[in-house]
Order: sequence, then structure tokens, then C-alpha cells
Amino acid sequence: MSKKFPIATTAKVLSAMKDARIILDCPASEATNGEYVGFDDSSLHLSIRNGLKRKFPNGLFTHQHQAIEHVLAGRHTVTSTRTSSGKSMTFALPAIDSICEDPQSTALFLYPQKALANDQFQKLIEFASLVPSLADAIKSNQELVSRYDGNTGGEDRRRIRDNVQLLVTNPDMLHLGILQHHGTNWGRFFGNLKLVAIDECHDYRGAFGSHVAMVLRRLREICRIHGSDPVFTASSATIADPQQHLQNLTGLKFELVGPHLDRSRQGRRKVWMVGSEAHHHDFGRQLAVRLVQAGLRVLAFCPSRVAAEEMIDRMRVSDAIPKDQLAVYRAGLSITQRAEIERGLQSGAKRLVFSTNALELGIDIGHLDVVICIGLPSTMMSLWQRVGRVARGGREGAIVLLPGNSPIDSYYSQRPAELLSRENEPIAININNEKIVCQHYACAIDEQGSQEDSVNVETLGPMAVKIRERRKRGESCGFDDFVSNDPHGAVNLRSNGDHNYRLLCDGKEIGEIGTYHLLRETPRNAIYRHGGRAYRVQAIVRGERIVRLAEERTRNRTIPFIQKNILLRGLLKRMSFTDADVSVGKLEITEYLESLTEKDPSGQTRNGWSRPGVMPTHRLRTEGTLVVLKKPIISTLNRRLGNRYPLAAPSAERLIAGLFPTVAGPCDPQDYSSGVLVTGERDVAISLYDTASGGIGLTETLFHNANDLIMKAIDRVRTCKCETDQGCIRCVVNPHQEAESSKEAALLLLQSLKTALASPPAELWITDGEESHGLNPSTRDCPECNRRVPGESRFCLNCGHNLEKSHG
Amino acid sequence: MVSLVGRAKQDAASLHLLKVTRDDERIIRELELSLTQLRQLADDNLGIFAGGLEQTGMMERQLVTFAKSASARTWIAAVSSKKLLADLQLRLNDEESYNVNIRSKGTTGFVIDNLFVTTVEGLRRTKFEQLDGGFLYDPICHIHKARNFQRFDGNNHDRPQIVANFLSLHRQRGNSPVLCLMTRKAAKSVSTSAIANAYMQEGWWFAYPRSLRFTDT
Repeated sequence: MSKKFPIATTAKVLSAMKDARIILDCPASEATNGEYVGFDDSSLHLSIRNGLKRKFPNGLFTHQHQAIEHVLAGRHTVTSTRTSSGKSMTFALPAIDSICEDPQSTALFLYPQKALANDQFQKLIEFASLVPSLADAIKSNQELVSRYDGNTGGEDRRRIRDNVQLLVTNPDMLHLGILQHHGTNWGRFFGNLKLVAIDECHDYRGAFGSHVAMVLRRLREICRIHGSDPVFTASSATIADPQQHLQNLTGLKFELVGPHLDRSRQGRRKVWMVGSEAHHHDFGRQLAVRLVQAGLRVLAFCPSRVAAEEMIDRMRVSDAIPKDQLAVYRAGLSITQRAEIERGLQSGAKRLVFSTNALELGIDIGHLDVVICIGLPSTMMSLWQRVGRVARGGREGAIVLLPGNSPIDSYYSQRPAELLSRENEPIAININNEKIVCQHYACAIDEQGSQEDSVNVETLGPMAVKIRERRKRGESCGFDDFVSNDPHGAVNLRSNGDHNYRLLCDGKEIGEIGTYHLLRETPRNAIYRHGGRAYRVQAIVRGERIVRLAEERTRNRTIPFIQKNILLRGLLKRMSFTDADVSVGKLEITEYLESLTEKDPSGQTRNGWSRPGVMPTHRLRTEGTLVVLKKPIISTLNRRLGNRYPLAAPSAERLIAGLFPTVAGPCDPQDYSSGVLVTGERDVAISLYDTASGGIGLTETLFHNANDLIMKAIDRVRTCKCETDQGCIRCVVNPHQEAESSKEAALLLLQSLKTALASPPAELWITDGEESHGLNPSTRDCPECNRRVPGESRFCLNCGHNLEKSHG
Repeated sequence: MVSLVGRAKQDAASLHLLKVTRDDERIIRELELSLTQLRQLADDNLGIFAGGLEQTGMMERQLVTFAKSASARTWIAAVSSKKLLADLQLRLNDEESYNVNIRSKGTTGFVIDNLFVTTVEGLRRTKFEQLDGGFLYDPICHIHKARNFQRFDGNNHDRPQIVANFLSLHRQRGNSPVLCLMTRKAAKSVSTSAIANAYMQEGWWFAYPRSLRFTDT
């Protein structure tokens, strides 16, 4: 029964669990059969139509047909229909069509993740093989359809460059390995480029999206040089305003085939939201185990990679699930480990997989029955992607959402309908980020043979135009990108210049880790879990970027205590009230490891290291919003709270940061962070800042929504059911660090802020957007060397001339 | 602490240099800075950035030229590493140099003719009665980056802060030492304002490196 009816089985299992409390029981969405258009009505090449008729006797879904017709007519098109609605065909078939029409033509397929690229590469070969002429061409030219990424061997690369026509790659490789060498190795490819396909385009957001936007603009420039004008086509199942996003991403206008045109075949699907007295990790693990025992195949999404690893660690013999049917899927695993799990999911060998968001994107992961979200997903896009892993191909699927203990999860567990009724959040990319544009402008100049005047800056966006004007005036941009011999090498699309560390155990590489996670997961002596095994960190070799591990059998865990220094480097906007300010400023954040504590499963401390070896600090220059408490509020709080005064700001900060997505729209917790700082005037400020280098304008939304957020924070403290002043992780306690907190102190601070911000602002001050380095936007010319220098400078940056008095 | 008390005062010292712009290395003017002008420069927290020396060997030769001047008695040279210091000692001044051993582990510095040469760390153990300036020999221009890393004893180590503390200490004693950074990196190829910040300078005068010399040489 279970394999045929996952919804009924899940309902039965949930009703049998004593501590399960159903918060939301949505009616199941009914299955749809799909509407088709026959191939005879399609403009595709005759050989494609004939080839596809055998596999798809009903023809194409209506939305597929419309998207393909747009692309064949030369219109840039974005397809935004549900998961499992056959979006891949909307760019695979036009690419094959272009080869049938012109045997020399080429097409580029961009995927944000290697795993997704691998999956789609196989599909592309399958589609191409359905067309007899193309199947013959593939036999004679093995590289006709090729994947080109960091895993492609050096020997294969040359052959691929010479022969490829359908190229599957990722933006990183496009930036570093393809655009850079367009003149020497890729002239044929770019000269014949007819189609650029961008899959899962919602993944290009934040700092990564801003980089990709610049890479795509550079791609357009390269195509212009080589005389081609490709059609762009894109797809995503979960995106809020796809046309606007694609226009931001490419600078081109797009036609939309949206959800209203979706006529795909979908299975029956049902969503529950379930609460429990037990910790959501424990409850989620128990539910997953019971569903597997009931014969279903389950994918459980965990909030972090540490949580995913701990799930396996907590499995018991009594759970009766063989180890080879369990897996953890997350970033940091080696390519072979990932491939093995993907194969296991497709074949059904893996029946329970705990995953991070790494499995969200459209990888075909076989016929899953149930998805469990342990902790609510941070974005609506993420939620719908997870939901879309089940009920594929007309099968039935169940989804169980388990809210966690964070303030935002508590908020939505009280208002479940509000969560599901939310639109997909708007995607933030910032093509005016000066640092990012400078980096890519330098790359574009390099790609044009160092001829700056040959670069069409209008294609690169308005910030590039400004930068060129500045450079013509002889002004510096504040970055060293233009003097680098290797501007491409200096840009890392994913993490703003941080390169990963390799994880080595007995000389064997088991995975890799970025610097952000390095500080949190692998300080020296820490216990690091990877693929269900525990390792002790032996050493971090900074020069070689290696983490040495030794395997250890332990159930203990280590908790890092990370301290943060926040430095305000300049203000961009300020709303001044009598007793408070709300400002947007440039910040420099330095995170460093203060201590490491080892605890056993019962929570007893077993060991501690106050200065655990030499760990690299994590530094970030970004923008953020500050809610500043002026002296009258500070004095009042000090007087009324006494020795609990120091707890007020950190407790309120935790609440404000936790509830921020309720005013900004759901956003990835890794996209922003928070902290408390003391300003130059000894005022206390609670800051929320973007974690992308240079800032992407996410936390700036707090500037106009501070009042609303403070009201919600007050409401959360008041309605929280915890009884002690210490609070709980649903309100003011930070679950990641052992620090004191106080509900009363936080409430008093928030109420003071609410009163302070109630009146209209006494002053509103905003700098000129072009000059964002300091407080004074004016500039003047140096009398010695005629260079333009910022107005506040005492000395010329170019010659050192004293602008206030003369030397010698 | 090495105290170099017996050093003669050099009121007539002057430093020759070609002042250039940072970005295009355009010559602004040729200058002979008197001691008063050097002090004024130091009081304004301005340093001299002599970038673009072709090779370390040239730096070594220039050091010898500086050292021959009597003016060098009130100057100090700090190099970026112990290895560079040892190389200098071996190559340039093997017979005449003498070690000032404070600890058994290493050498604080040595004197070539009139110039005392040490490492950045050696500055912490060095004190002058009169100090007019310091040459910071940093061939690959990386001293300013070595900030806030922890040593094995757990204490923070901050190399540019050592330089800044050294200059500050001598300012408190009534001197106005000017910092002269000599490197193989061209000024336009590095973030000179960030480097100035690290050494507590407000800015730089950029100089053509081969033009630097004491006028009494």
C-alpha cells in the first residue's frame, strides 16, 4: 500500500506519533493530466519532430511548445513553470534544432551546480540521440555534446574546445576558463553561438548573482566581437518577477512563459506543518525513520550540514535501517561521494537521505515519496524547490514541514497560512556594486586585449560607465583590479576571493571547506563530521590551504565561540530622531575564534580550549543598517536594568536578526548577519549587515522598516511561552553560542526604541550615491598634480601634496 | 633595549629625491629636503614611498651608499626579515659589522659604516637619542599585511604596529622621524593608502627610488 499511497501512509504515521501536533493540514492538490500540442504544429526541424514522436506520442506540453516557439523566433525567453514540468526541453530542443539547421552552430548551457550540470548533460545526450542525424554526428564526434568544468581533465579540454557544439558548463568556468581565452581557443565556438541557456536562474542571486550578471554581460561583449548574437533562454520553477530578474541578469528584455501557462502533468501532493514538544531535529529523525519503516523513500532537508551529519550520528540499531540505505548529502563531499548518493537515490538503493539545500535544485533524484523539512526553509524559493522533489512524473507525494526553534520559525508556526500564502521573494542582485563591477570591468578590458576603449561599457551597466568616466579623469577606483596581471584569477564568483581548504585524512582528500565554515566547523581540535563519520582536526596548514584530520570514534561534539568586531567606516544614510538614529553605513567585520568547547551527548563539558591554535580570521567589508541608541536611552536602560544592562542589546539583536525576514521577505540566513557595536560617540548600535562583500542592499530594507520590525520583536517576546527571564531559543537565546540573555532587558530596550522612533525624524540625510567612500561627497583638484581628490583629504593621494598648506 | 646614545647630531643633513606622482610616475620636482623640512613632513604624518626598485641587489647597493653618509648616523634601516638581514650582513659588511646580541637566539642588528640596520622586530629593542628617519626595506611590500596574527605564546603580533610604535616612541622623546618605505613594488601596483593607514601615516610623498641619497655622501 505504502509505495502507491505516500499521502495516506504519511497521514497514518503522523497520527500514530503521540507528540505530533498538526499545525497545518492543507487539502491535497489534485493531480493534473497535462495539455499537449502535437509535433505537427511545432516549428522544430522535421528530423527532431520525427525523432521525438516515438518517445513523446502526445507531443509537447502547451507551455513547452510556446517557450520553444518564442526561442525559435529569436526572442529571449524565460520559462517559469512548476518543478517537473519539462523545462529542460525548452532549451535543449531549440539548441538541437539550431544544429539541424546549421551544422556549425553552437549552444551554451549554464548550470549553477556541477551536480545539476551532470544530470542535465545526460538528458541532453538523450534528447540529441533521438535525432538520427545528430546521433550519427555524436558517434563520429565524441565531443559534440560536452561538459567543461573544473573536473574536466587537461587532455580532454583541448579536444572539447576544438569540437564541442553543445557545451554544458557553469558560470565559474565560463568566467575563468572560457571568456578569458576567447580569442585563442574559443573563436569557433563564439562565432557560431546561437543559444545561451540559463537553468535554475533563481540561484543567481545575492553576490553570486551580481557576479554572474557581469559575466553574462561580458559574454555578450565577446559574442559582439566574434559577430554572433545568441538568443538567451532561461528557466526556474520558483521565481518572483522572472522577466525583471533576467533583465537584471543579462541586460536584455525577455518574453515570459509563466505559471499561468503551465499545463504540465503533476501528481497529487499534500503538505502538513507539524509541531512537537520534542526538539525538531529528534522529531524529524523519528518521523523519517518511521516513514522508511513503512516502506517509503524519504528525503529529509536539514538546516545545516552539521545538523545533517548529526542525524546519521543519532541513528540507533533499533531504527532497523541498514547503513547502506542511509546517506548525508551536502556541500563539501567529494565528487565521487556525491555521485554515489545520486545514483543510490535514482536506483532506490538509498531510502533515507539527510540533505542540506544542496539537493534542492532540479536534479532528477528518482521517485521519492516524502520530503521532510526539518526547520522551515529560509526562502519561499527554497520551500517550493523542496516541495518539487516529490510528486514528479504524475506520482503522488507528501511534504512535512517541521518548524524549528528560531524566532522566525516560531512566528510562522503560529501563522502557518501566512507562510504558504507568501509570494516568492524578489531576487536581489546588485549590478551597481562598485567592487564587483570594477573586477569585471578589468576582466573585460583584459578580454579586449587591454584596449579599454574597445569595451562597450553600456553593456556592462551604469556603474561601468561611471567607472570609465572616473578613470578618464585619472581618478582611482579604490581597488587594485586594473593593475593586476590576472584580473580573472582575482575574481571568485562564489565567495569574493576566498579559496577553499582541502580536507585531508591520512593523506587522502575527503572533501573541501570554505573559510567561512572553516572558522566554525574545523578549528584545531574540533570534531568534524563528514559523510556520517567523525574526525578530529589535527592541524590547519594555512600556506597550503589544508585541514589535516584524523578519524575518531566519538559521539561528542565541539562548539566554537566566535567573537566579532564591527567597525563603522562611514555613513551613507541617516534618519535622526531625538533619542535614536537609523543609519545605513559601510562596515568592516572581523570574526575570530575565542574558544572551543567539547561536550558529550548528555551536554557535559569534556574539554575546552581557550585559544585553539592559530585560526585565520574572517574579514568582511560590507554595508549594513544600524539602529543607534543615543545616550538618554542608554542612561535610562542602565538605571532601570542595573547589572542586566549589558544583556539588553545582544538579546534585542538576536530577536531583530531572527525576525528580519518578516519585513525583508524570506531570505537566506547566510545572506545577512548581525552584531552590536559602540559608535565613536559612545552610542550603542544594533547592526544588521549583508554577508556579501561590498553589500547587496538586503539589510538596507531595515532602514525604512525599523519600526515595523521592532513592533514584531516586542510581540514575539510578549507572546513567547517561556517562563524565565533568560528566555528560550524561540525568543532571545542564541542557539549557537552560550551567552546570557534577558527577555525583560530586551523588551525594555525595544519599547524605548519604539517610543524613540514613533515621532517623525528630525533629520534625513543621504549621500550622493556616486560618492560612497566617506561622509563628504565633494571633491577638489590637487594644485600639484591636478588629480581629483576627495574633499575631506588633507593630502593628495597621488603626490602627497598637503592640500591645507605647502611643504618645501 | 639597544640604546645608541653616542651618535652625533647632524643638523645639516639633507635628503635628495625626485618627487613623482603615484599613478603615472611623472616627475613633479627635484628636492633637497633639509632637516627642518623632513621634520615638518614627519609632523604632518607623511612618509616617503620609494617604490619600483628593480631588484633586491640594487636595494643593497643603495643601503651602502646611505650608510657612507654621516647623516646616516641619525637614521635607522629596518628590513622585512631575518633572512634578509643575515644576507645583508654576509654580503655587504662581513668584516666590519658587529652583532648586537640581545638574546642568544638571534641578531638584533648590525652597523654598516654609519647606518644601523635591524629587522622590524628589532625596532622594539632599539632606541635612539636623536632619530631623523627610518628606511623600511620591504622588497615584496608585505610587512603592512602582517597584522594581528597570534604567536605560539598566544600574544598578538602586529608588524606595522611595531614600526608605528617605534616612530611614536621617538616622537615622544622630541624627535620627528620620517618613514621612508623602499620596495620593489611600484606605488601604483599596491594600495598605498591602506599601507599608509597601517603605518599610521596620513599619506605619502612618492619618490623615484634611485634618486634617494644624502647630500653629504
